[in-house]
Amino acid sequence: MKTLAFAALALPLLLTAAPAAAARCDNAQDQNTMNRCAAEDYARADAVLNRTYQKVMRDLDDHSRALLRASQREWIKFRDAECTYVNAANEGGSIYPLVYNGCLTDMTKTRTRQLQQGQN
Amino acid sequence: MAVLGAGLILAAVPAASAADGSPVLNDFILKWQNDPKVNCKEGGGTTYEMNVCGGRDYQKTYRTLAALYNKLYAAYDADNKKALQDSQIAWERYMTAECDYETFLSRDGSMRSTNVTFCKLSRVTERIARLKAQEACEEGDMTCNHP
Repeated sequence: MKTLAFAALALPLLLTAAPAAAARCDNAQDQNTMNRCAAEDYARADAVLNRTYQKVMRDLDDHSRALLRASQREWIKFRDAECTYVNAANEGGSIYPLVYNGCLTDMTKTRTRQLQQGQN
Repeated sequence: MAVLGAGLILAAVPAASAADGSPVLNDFILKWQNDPKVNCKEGGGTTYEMNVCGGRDYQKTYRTLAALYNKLYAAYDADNKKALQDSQIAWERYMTAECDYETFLSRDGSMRSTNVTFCKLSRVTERIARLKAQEACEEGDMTCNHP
């Protein structure tokens, strides 16, 4: 019953909020909006990765779990170093957050797919 | 039976990065042993043959990566050299940790080293694609780092 009530409440919110954000970001003209939208994209991709990671971790034994945790830590360092490298020429520019977050999003999606494939 | 020595890699991959400790020279490929008696074109089916043939593929692919890395490294200014190198060091560490994880289930089996080789081959191939995208980055394109 609680779930139903929540769904009834949440659904209209989701239906209205998502397209509004999408429209705002699709038609973004100024750098600030584009930067903010790129950060939101990344936050969404990161949340999906975190869910996927937790799901994979649940099904592993202790030793594999430690190895995946180690790999994930190294991947995070690699992700940051790679996006810093790709974006190095924009250092100090107003486009920096857009390119940096775009890079993080792409890499995060690739990592999510990698973890999903490893699971099968 | 040729052991691929560090000298050979250094000879094949000279350039700036070798002198300042390029991460592309640290891989276990330096210790991998080829066996010229194995004919990979016949598609050898034993674990040993798969190891040798996988090692050859890996060696070839890794050399492509090393050459690409060195080419980019040579083209960048000091700041970009540093950024590329930091990324490459981090990538090497990630590749090692990821393949430790991915091959853990076969840790005690005869397929272990084959699995590690193929895992690393996949990672190196991905890395080549990423660096190629930077190599192809046109001047003025702000989404990548034009060499």
